[in-house]
Amino acid sequence: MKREKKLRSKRENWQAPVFAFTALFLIAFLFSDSFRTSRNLVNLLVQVAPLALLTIGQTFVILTGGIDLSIGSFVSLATTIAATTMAESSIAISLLLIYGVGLSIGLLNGFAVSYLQMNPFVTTLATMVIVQGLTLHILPAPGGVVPYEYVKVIMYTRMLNMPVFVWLSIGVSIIMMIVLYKTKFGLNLYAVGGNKLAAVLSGVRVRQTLVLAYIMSSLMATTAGVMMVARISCGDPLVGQPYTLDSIGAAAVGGVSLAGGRGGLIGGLIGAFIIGSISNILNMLGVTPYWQFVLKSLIIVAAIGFAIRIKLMQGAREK
Amino acid sequence: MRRIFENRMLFSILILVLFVIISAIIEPNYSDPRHIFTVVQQSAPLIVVTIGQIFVMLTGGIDLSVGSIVIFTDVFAASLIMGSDERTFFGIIAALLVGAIFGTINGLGVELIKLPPLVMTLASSIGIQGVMLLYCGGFPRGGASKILKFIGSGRWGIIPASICVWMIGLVVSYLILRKTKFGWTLYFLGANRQAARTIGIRCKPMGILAYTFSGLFAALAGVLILGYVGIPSLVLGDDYTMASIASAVLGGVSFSGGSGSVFGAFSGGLLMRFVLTLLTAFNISAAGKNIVQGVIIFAMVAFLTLQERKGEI
Amino acid sequence: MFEPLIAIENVSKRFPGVQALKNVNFSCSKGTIHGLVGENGAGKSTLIKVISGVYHSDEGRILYKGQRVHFHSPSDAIKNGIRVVYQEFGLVPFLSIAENIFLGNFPGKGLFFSKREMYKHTEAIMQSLGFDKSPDTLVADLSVGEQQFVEIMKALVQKANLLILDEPTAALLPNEVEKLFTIIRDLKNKGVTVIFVSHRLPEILEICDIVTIMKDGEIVGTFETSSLTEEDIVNLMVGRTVEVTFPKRLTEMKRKRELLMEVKRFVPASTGKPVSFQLFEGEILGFYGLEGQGQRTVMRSLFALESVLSGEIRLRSESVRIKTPHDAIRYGLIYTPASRKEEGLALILSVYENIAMPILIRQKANLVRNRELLKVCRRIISEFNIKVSNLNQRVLNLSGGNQQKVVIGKWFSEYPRVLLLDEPTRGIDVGSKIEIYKILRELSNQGIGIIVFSSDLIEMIGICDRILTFYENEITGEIRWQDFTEEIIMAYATGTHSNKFSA
Repeated sequence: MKREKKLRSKRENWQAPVFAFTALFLIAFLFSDSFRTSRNLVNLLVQVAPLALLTIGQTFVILTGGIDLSIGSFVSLATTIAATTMAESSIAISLLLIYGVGLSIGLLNGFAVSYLQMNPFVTTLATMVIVQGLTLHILPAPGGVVPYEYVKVIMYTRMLNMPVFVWLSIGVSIIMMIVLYKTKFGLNLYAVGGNKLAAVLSGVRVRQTLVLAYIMSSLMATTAGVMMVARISCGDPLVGQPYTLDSIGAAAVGGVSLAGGRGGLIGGLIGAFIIGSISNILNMLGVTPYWQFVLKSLIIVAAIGFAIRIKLMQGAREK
Repeated sequence: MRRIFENRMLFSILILVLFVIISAIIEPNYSDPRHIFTVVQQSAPLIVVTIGQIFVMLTGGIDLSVGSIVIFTDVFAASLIMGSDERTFFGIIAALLVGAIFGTINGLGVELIKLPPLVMTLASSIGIQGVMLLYCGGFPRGGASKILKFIGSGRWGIIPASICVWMIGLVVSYLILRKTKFGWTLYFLGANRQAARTIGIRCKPMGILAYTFSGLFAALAGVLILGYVGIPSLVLGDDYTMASIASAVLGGVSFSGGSGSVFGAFSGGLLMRFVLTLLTAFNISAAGKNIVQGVIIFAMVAFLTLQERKGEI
Repeated sequence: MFEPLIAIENVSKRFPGVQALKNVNFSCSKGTIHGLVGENGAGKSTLIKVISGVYHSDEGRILYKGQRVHFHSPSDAIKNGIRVVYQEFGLVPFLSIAENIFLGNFPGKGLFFSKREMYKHTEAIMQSLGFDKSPDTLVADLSVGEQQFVEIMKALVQKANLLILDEPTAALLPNEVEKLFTIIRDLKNKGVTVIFVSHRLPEILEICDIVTIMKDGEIVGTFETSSLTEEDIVNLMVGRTVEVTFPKRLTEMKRKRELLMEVKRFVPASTGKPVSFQLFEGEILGFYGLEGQGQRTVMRSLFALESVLSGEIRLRSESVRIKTPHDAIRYGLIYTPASRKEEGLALILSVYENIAMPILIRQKANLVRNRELLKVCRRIISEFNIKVSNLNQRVLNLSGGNQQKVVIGKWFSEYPRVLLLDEPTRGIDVGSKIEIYKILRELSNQGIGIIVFSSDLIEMIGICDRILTFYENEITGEIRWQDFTEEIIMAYATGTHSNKFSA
């Protein structure tokens, strides 16, 4: 029987993101000398790595037809807890605490959405506010102490000129791709997002799938935070804020349908690259920070709008 | 609609009254009418912003950029008025116009580019922040005039002048929503958009207008804040986004659209403000207030969802 | 041998406001094809959901294979070999055929799924059914009929002992229905029990051995199908001797034949093929075709719900441009959609609001005058005999028949010129259907032109004056009521005859 390789490309269209990505990089390469340096490229990877992780988590959630607005706040939470506890107790205990809190809140999100059947948008909005409050309470302003050994291992140990930070992110990304593309859980995500009722009636463990999706999201975000703290060497209660919109933008640009059930990690990661490099590129092009706010939001709107347009056209064609 | 009005609205008013009574018991200061009216005065901007948010929520959307619009118009109006009474009118109108424009941009993004409201308004909140920073370079100038200060923070006896603003706002909104074709259309859009289209409703312009109103009311709130504080501030508006959503939810407005009354802005907004004031009395930090706000939204939605589900087969 | 496979004893189920099942006793024997009929709201759907573990009964018990069972969730029922194929698709659009078939039950060790095994089994079953698509194909790319087949395959693969089919033929082409019946008989031979729920009485009589009739949450009776006629079943369903009579048509003499609407070379964007036809005053014109043959597309495109490439529309020799539904409404052209829940009504709003909305849209003024609106609303409710306890009741809470009357009736603050009705009696009880037929005939007698599309051919034959048949997006035939026979209409609709009408 014919085995059409096109299967994945129908469920996940990564042609558009790849195209956008290539275009973006070509422009940057051509128009900015400083962009081309290998130092900048490594820098770029370091900048994109946390967003990549967050986009993975966000993709899992969006595939189920939900959204995670609290994702950015986990990053901030992780850095602030780290900066206030790592130096005083051991790194291990601190990490345990960070993941414990992060995963519990992810569990709360998942529980609310699956068992209480609350609207994911409102739920994660509420938890975002709560976590943000918690974070500000722990550390009202950037500061705290991060042990040097920790920073050294994560940021300064390099293999092939790239810090462990980046390698860890790559490793996690690969594991998550296997999870999405090769496990039953992965298929269940698509089922829940594609037709929840059908999933329920077929005996899919919808509730568990949902809870797991949100836990994955908080797991990714917490991990990103744990690495970020090494990069910035302090805790910052507001560091994660921009990441929420960025991760949604990255997923959307990467072809993940905001309605759920469609898209995948390959596109998502490419999207993360695209969105993640915007700031870098704007910097290289010499754009002032205030203008960056404006431009970045315009670009995200345009990028997502474009992705949605493509999806609409495809939908019409397929009929 | 009347049902919901009866159920959720009265319910939230009930809670409001209970709350006031309880806080009066806990903190005897609170039974002082002067104090109560202070809280009422402080809730004016919140009530106004929530009215706008409700317009949008009724159509099934959300506006996360209201906080940024509030800050922008605060700064913008201050720079135009510059403390002068003669320029007050001009400054207010200009600010309202700008708010309406920002709102319309949101509407265009949602209806024409078909961006989900969440994404569009989240993005525009950042963009508007950028515009604001570009406008004042990080250093807001100017301030409110005497007239504006009176509107924002003055009183007649113990009754705050700003009551006029939000009361008129509430009445006007109610009339628009329940007594005009436009208002009914908004409810219908939120209730079932496809059906609205099949009935011949022009969904796009109506949808855009809802966001225009939201921007307009957010701008009005910014002006009120300027009047209350006297000088522009870069941060005071930040929490208004979340607070307006919390107030709307507390006031019984549904996220999925099509149900809720604009008077929920009143009950929800006041309640929110009372809660926050009580927290301040207990010396809870801004962080703590955030947490409480989040918990309130969470609990309220959980409660409402469970209630809705009971009625569902 | 005659021990029932499944027996429901004294089961009751209540929902807020309605007693869905009252002390129901139902049983079904192994290896039989057991039909289940009843009006909408009779309780069939609830009964099935109790059997399949979606609902818990309030009282009573279920015996399966002689043993008392308690299903806590659909997966319990599934584990026991009970499978349901629902009317509304239980398929995930962006998963492949193979993935859908194994949904909830993926083969493979531990966390990982085995693509190879899934494909192997899927190919095997597709071959045995003569279904020739690649197991890779995404369900979203299949036709409605093909999707239904996938659902059935899904039930089969999971080795059902009891297979429940809920309106399985609603979306199938006639040859697919034949295939389905063959499969069902085959299953029966293998010892599988099938419960067949349908509104299509001829099919029930053809395929089922036994039929159970439900009414108002109770079992009216269980009979061998060989002992019943259609009329018997209808009478049992409705509980009174009812002839599904269609209102009489006016004779030729009495009817004026003025041209009301003329459509010339009208090309909807999605079909690309031109259609032309005429509609006369006072006539009920039928658009008949099998699923997806263009009849619905043309209707919706006339109303500007779908895009149009070119074409001319004339209303009473006035040429009109219709770019949006709003334009159409202004010209007196009204469309009522097939899916009332999705497109026809705002369910959470009240009856009053749903009826008032079109009135408001038509009026130029912005002001809402409640008193006048209420008056008009009440008039419509009495004219259409819509049963409501209170105008502020949510439309959600009305029965299907009454909802449909709201869908049609809400336009009658002014008399439309042309009514385009898309499946006007879908999913409603016989009593309401008859009322609607009467209403339609009265309206046409007053000069309104009506175009109807219904997938129920008998109904079309009963109410239409003329039928245009659609096949492959073109009009293939025009038949007058004097010449109506099912065979002829079907022949045109399946492209066997062709009197091409597209200019």
